[in-house]
Amino acid sequence: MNSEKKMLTGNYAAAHGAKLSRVRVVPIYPITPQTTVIEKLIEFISKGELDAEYIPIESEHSVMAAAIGAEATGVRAFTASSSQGIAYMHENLFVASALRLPIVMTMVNRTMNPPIAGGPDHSDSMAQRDTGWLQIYVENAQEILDMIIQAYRIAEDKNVLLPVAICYEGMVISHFLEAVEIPDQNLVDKFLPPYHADHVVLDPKRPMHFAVISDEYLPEYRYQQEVAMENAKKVIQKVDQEFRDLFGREYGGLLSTYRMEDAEVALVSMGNICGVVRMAVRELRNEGIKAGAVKLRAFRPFPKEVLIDVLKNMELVIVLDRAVSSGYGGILYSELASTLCNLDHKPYILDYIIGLGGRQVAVPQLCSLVKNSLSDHKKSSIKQSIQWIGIRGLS
Amino acid sequence: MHGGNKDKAMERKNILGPDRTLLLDYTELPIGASAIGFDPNLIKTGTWRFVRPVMKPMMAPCNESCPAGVDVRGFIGFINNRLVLKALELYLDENPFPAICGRVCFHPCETACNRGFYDETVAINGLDYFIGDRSHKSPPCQEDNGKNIAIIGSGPAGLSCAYFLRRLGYSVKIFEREPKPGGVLRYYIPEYRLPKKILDREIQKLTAMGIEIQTGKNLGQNMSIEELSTFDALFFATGAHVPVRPGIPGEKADGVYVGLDFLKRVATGNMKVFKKKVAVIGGGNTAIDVARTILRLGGKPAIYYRRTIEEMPAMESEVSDCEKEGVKIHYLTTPIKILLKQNKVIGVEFVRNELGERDGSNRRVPVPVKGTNFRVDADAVILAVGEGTDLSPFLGSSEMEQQLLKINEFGQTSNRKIFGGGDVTHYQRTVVDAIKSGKRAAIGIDCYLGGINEKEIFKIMGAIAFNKQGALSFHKYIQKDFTSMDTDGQVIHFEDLNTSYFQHDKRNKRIGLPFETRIKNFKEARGGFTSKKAQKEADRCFSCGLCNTCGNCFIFCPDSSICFDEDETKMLIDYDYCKGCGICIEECPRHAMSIVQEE
Repeated sequence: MNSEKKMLTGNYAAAHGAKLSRVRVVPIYPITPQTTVIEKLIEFISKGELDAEYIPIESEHSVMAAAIGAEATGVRAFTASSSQGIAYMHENLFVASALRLPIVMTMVNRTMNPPIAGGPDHSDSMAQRDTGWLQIYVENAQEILDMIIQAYRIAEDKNVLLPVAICYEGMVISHFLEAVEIPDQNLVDKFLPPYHADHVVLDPKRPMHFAVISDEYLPEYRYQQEVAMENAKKVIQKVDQEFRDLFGREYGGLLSTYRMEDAEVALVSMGNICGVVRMAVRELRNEGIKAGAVKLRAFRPFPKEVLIDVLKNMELVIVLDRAVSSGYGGILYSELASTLCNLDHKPYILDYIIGLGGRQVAVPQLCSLVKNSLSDHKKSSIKQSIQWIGIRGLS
Repeated sequence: MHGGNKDKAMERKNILGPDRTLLLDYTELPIGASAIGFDPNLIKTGTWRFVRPVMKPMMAPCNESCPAGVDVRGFIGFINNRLVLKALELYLDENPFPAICGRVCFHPCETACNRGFYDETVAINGLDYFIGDRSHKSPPCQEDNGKNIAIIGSGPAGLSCAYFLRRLGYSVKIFEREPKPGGVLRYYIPEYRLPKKILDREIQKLTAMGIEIQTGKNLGQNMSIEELSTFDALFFATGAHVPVRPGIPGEKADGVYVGLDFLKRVATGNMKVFKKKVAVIGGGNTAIDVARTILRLGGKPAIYYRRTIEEMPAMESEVSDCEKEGVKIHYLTTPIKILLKQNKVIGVEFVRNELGERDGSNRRVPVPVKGTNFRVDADAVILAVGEGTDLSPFLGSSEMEQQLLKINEFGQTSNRKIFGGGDVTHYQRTVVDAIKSGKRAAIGIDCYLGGINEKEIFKIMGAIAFNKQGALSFHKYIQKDFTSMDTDGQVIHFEDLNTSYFQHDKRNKRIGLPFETRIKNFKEARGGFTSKKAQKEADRCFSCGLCNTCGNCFIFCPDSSICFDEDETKMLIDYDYCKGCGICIEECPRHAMSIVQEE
């Protein structure tokens, strides 16, 4: 086996992931902090290390259109974007999912502007929640690389056939160097066979009409997509297991847990703050508090059943939300609360809005947050279930 | 294809997917909303459209400006497609003399060319020359109609009128007072601009069509109008060759010549050397021709013109060639008197001018500045300040007006049997305008002899109008195509073009003799193009307002609703699927498409 270990940024890891997946068409428009993904891919292509067509296009909207066109010819398309760039793709994201095209893209999270800020939160990817794409949130460079390979397997599964977004925080994971194991190409080829499309194929020899006009069957088409999302839950789990068997690394599929076995208070989060959360859990445990952490990886499909299973016995569930639906509160919180709301003995759920635009999330801050929440909860003196943390002037 | 519906679905041959009328279950729908379009013809997205793009030729500035009505854009297009004979055919439809125009025309087409706003205008005149020398065939003539026309004068107007009449089936006889036909083309345009052998060849083309030319017949001298009464109609095109004199002291002295006389003496071989220091007075083509001719005869000419180069009536290219050959042009100078010694010219006294108000011709009037008189030495003076007409042969036959033969829109004089054209009438005094007048009169004669009343003639002329310069389309006339024009007459301006799709490319240079050697003899000074260069030059044409199947619309149409026709000579729009987005029109480099409201 010829795997090698290299120091890579998250974006370079993403480029390696795409290269190992033997993507054939790469339409990209640059935007900070995604740009180095393109740069690396262009380097691969120009050196002949990757047999792919790089398409520089005038906008992200066209990027997605090109990716759709390419994927519809039956080849793997890959792209990446951030923030407003993702928003500019918006309408075409629906096209990709409704045409059931297994495109993979990385959403290198950057807060939606203005103010013009480069820091990460989940506001850009969360805004695309309803476009019918799978969304997997990852926390380090290795996971990025591995998940891009996994993503094609998941996306191209005949029971799924949906596009996948791999989301990771820009500036932080995208640009930090980490030791990454680059797996052997032969092994990846074994894990990820070539893509054979037969449902939507642009082929002059076999004329086909797609994106048909059909008001009468629209609900049925939508339901088909829902079934595919549901199928994806099993496929994500299965692919993670198969990946472990071949590469020796696993990520837990839909979600992973940390010291949840006997926990009474659970912290639920996504992306790179999960690492800080685990450190806080360790601290809290040292102080005798039975805390545990849930790293939610699949936001779409939302793994309701697994979450219920993991959280049903908690006293308190604390959600750390990195995106806000203005006028309501945390987005992850709202989904989790609705997931747990019909349980007979449901945990109390608190939402903390934290780390917007890349603001620091520190271990002591989390520890005191958990301790205060627990004591308030015991005294039944929680006034607000959704709270913004660390806002200047807000006590 | 899907369960029990399979057989029925397969029966419909055009169907790409299952029949949705038979589908009940969401599991039966093809994944990705694909293949369920059935017969794609059922969903004609063209019904969404409220405006439609149309391929609509617009007026090119070159075509708009050609007095002869040559489809300039069209013939260049043919050269571009390597169809040189077709280019010539198209040209000959409207103008019998590409080889002559390619040498002497003042080419308003080039002046108007949109490419000039981009880099340099297309060298259209050189392309005229190119196709004119490529082949010497004539277009076919209609069957003889038994009618006879007499033409007086064999200059460009007379020859053109004869050409068009002959093509309509008339027997045509031209009477020329000089020993050889050609008029101004032979006697006044110098050999180095239009070689006599080219002229002879062009005239031979006409005689080969059956046109008869009788020389040495001078109306009013050895021939009377009564003698011509057997003809069904007459066309007078005797030109303007009576010298105008400025009326200054000394102008009749020995050593003072008149421009046209001088040129004629050279043209007829009666003057071979002229080693004198000459003051040429005037600013028209005659003055330029005279000066350049003197150079070639060994003399030292200088031109004196009363206004500036801006107002100069001479052709720009001629003026520039003249200066490059070494002739000095003194602007803003008016001769006061010719200085004599024993009735022989020794010099000229001039006064300097400044420009005043604009006159009737919209040119600024020269106003003499007091005290600026100066004298120059000269052995000879040549006056080239204008030409008048000699109307004496026609006196009594028809009405005159301002020293010209009075004609109506289609060349008819007050005597319905007599028509006129060229310099003896109100037309601009250029070869190409003479051709225009000849064509108009030929059509006028045909209508008149066909018994068509005046009102109808005007209607026909409106229908066959080629441009707003008064050029008529003979092609349409001979085809009896009196429907309205292909174009709506709207001229394409540079701003209408999408120049993003053009590349900068220098104008190709015409073959020509070097300035140092050309002044030593009367060999043709400026030539045309080689095949390769002509191709390259034709390729520079923007084809303003006319589709040349560049395929941009095909590339950009988001609905794949535009395609080439089978032989790739035009673009076809599939209105079943065109949604009327207008991208094709936006991306058309040459504004050959328009958008129109759906009804």
